[in-house]
Amino acid sequence: MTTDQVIPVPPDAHAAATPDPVVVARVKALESLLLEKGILASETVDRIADLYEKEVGPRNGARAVARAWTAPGFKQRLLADPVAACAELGIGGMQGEDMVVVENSDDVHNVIVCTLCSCYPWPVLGLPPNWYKYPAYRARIVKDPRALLREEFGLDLPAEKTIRVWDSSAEVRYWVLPQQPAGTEGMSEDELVELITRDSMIGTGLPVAPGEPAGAR
Amino acid sequence: MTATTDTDTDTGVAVADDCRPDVERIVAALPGQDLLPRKEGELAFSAPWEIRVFALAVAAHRDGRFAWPEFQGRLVEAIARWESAAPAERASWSYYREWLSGLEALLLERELVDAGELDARTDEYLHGVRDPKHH
Repeated sequence: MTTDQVIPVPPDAHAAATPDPVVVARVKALESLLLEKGILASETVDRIADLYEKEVGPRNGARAVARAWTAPGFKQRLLADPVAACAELGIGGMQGEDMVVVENSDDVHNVIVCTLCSCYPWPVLGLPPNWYKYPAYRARIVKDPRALLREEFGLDLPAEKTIRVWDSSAEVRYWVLPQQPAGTEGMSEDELVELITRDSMIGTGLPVAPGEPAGAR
Repeated sequence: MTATTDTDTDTGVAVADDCRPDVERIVAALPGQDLLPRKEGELAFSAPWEIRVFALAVAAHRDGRFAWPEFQGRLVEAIARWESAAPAERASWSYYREWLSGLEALLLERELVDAGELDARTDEYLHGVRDPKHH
């Protein structure tokens, strides 16, 4: 069979994919067997997956945050019922887990972790970065968040700011609504989306302020 | 998104882009381009498992487990099987489900994976033996 064969589009080719638990389990099983047998190196798989993870990725969360910054009504709904508010933007895919959005303020900085494994609000933030899964992050963010954020993420929070660490579980996935950077009040939703990084919604970073080098603060 | 959001802070190494041209060549030659979910020209994935299974096949090829046209052939066969299936079995369509089926066929044929072992491991994940309710 040749590879450039033209295959007709099935009628429902573009229907939303429903996550089939058997398929999900089978992919995990296949990956674990291939790694275990040494047929594949996990770094090779990760490197290729990394190229595309942004596709499912944090852009969904960034859209929700930008909307919350520009539409107070949406922000209220997002904090009250994130699953329903995200559904308004066409963001779905949660399978029975609840989602809780925690809001940063002048007094409080929030950061998320899953101390047990690597639970993560993936429909909103995409796949978790590797460091999110490492014991070094999972243990230390609970014990010494201020030092970890400063030393590993270059995020030096003022001493008077309270840091709250939210431990996700299979039932509840947390994510952070960052504060809108000063001086961006006149920007459009689309422009704001570009400022909202994945790390700012994990709590290990802040949104990029306009005119500031990425990753600063 | 800015580049800094994609750095791996544990190792200080930015996500390697070195395999990108290779992967893009592969993507450009995938069968069923019309069926391939895309957004703004880039591959679009709707769930993490789709990215994982995509990466597994590309990684296995890059590690020399099979030539890419061999996988392409299996994918074409899997898609063709779906298309000729009875309407009842065609209730849902997923490019990456067919991708998985093509990859499985090739790995089993090469005896890189054992069918019984794969079924057993799948069951373990499905029933939370390995992955208790997480992810």
